[in-house]
Amino acid sequence: MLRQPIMKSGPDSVAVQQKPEPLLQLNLSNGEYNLIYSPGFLSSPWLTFMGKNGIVISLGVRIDHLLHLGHTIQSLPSFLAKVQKGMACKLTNKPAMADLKMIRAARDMMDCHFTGTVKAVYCELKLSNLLVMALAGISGQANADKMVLKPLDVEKIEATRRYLFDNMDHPPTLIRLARKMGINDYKLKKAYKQLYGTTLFEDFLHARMDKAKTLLQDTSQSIVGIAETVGYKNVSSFALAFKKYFGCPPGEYRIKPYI
Amino acid sequence: MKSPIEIAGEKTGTIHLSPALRTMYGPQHIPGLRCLEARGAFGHLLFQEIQGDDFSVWHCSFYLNHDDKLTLTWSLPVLRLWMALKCSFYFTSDNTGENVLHERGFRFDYFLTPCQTIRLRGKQSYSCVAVHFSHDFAREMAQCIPGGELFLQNVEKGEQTSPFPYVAGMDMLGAVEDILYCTYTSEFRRQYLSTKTLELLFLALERSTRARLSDSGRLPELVVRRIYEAAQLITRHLARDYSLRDLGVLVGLSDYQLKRGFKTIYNLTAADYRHEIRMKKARLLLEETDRPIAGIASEVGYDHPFAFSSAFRKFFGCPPSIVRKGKRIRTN
Repeated sequence: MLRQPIMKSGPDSVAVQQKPEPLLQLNLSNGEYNLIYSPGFLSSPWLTFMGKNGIVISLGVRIDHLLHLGHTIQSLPSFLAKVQKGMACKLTNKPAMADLKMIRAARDMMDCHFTGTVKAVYCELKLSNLLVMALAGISGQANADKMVLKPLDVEKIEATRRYLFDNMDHPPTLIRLARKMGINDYKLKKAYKQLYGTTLFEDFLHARMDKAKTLLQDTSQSIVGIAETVGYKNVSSFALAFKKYFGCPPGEYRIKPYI
Repeated sequence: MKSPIEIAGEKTGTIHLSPALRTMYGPQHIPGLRCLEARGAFGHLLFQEIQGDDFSVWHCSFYLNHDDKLTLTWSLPVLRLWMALKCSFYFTSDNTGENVLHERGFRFDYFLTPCQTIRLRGKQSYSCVAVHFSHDFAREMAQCIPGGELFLQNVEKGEQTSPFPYVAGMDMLGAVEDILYCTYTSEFRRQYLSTKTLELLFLALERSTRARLSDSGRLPELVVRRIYEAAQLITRHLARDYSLRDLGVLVGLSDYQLKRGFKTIYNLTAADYRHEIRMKKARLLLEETDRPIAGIASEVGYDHPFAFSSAFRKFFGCPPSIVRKGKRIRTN
């Protein structure tokens, strides 16, 4: 059994139909693709592409390849259920949009200068890569909740980060921080995660612990003093955080810092 | 955890790597990777690893405050594909004389005890990528390429077919970037990385088995540095159309030296190099910002958006408007 994601990179729009009755109609414009299934797909003589100069790339996928992707693609379970029943269907109502990486992969295949078996190997590599990107793209677009960041936002977020790190000894709360920097606190949280892949305060914890570690190693400052420098009012909460982070309390760390 | 790499500097002494706390988001940092780091008066070293099933990819960056020679000892016997990404590495390994790996140069190495000495200049940042393969993994791929097996056998015996490193093209560089900056997660990431690494290995082997270009003489170090300066000038002022002569005057090389230098290091002419950087920058701006296409065109040195559009299409295989449209769909 074969399912076909179809990707097109050409100027016209293309419809795929099965005759005598159209089982499935798919409209793809430039750069769009989708995953579709139709019973007896490859052997069917009634698969027609309508369009003038379009180039369509179709890739067959074995069903077991999709099975273990499980919940990573939102609409996949219902798609697979239909496939089991032998119904023609498509994965998403709105086709997904190929990114430049995918288009390049398709181009590389078409324009490849290798010949013979080398070409076959190269194309196979490219195809498996394209398939991963196509499926990842569909999953990402189905579950996307990224926000658009303007350069000014990015600047503000970076400034916020710097401000927090420079004022390590008396860290403000997230809301006070956001207000001070003139940015919405929700936006700050979300955009920070998007930019750096972690939360602001988790990052801040890393920085604090890093600083505490260096101070312990390189200076003879008291642990109370260090706790204050890295913004803990209470020594025992500092010791607790330190232990949780490095696995040993600060006093012990100072004696054997190689742990 | 034992570090897989041991490093000793001739002047600095043994350098201990420790798991890095990701507090520094320097330009060398790649999000989401395991990293090992050493930082101190000597400078800063950062080793970042992506692990796959049959391979591991290391991105290594070096910044030293003073000139030094570092000896790196890896704890695994490995077949390794090594590519310089920033600056030239002057290195000696085993008992061969000093070799050089310029920016974008790559070579295969096989070590039983992988030990290598690299000579680095102070106040200069270096980075390279090293892909370690298991022996069988590479051999399977080599069987698909005519001459591939023979090449690998030679590598394992320690005989390189060419004394000069090979130069990576756009395809290989793209694959390296895709691997390092892969944004997929979970299952997709695993699959993507393994297909891309296979592709990189394939391209590298394929290129190595083909005849090497004749123009690969050794450049004096001063000339190499000036070529990098010229490359940097091009990158900083993308909108300017420097002629070879202008560049030559700015960095202190004759136009012949420049021409030959670019050809040797990048296997490109200076104009082609600029074109490549322009296109990459344009792509970045298209994908990462909301600036209008006409604005991007003039930023990378095109007076007319039309000319930009067709150049972009020729380079990447699809017009900039499609890239922009895709971005809009993905972010909304």
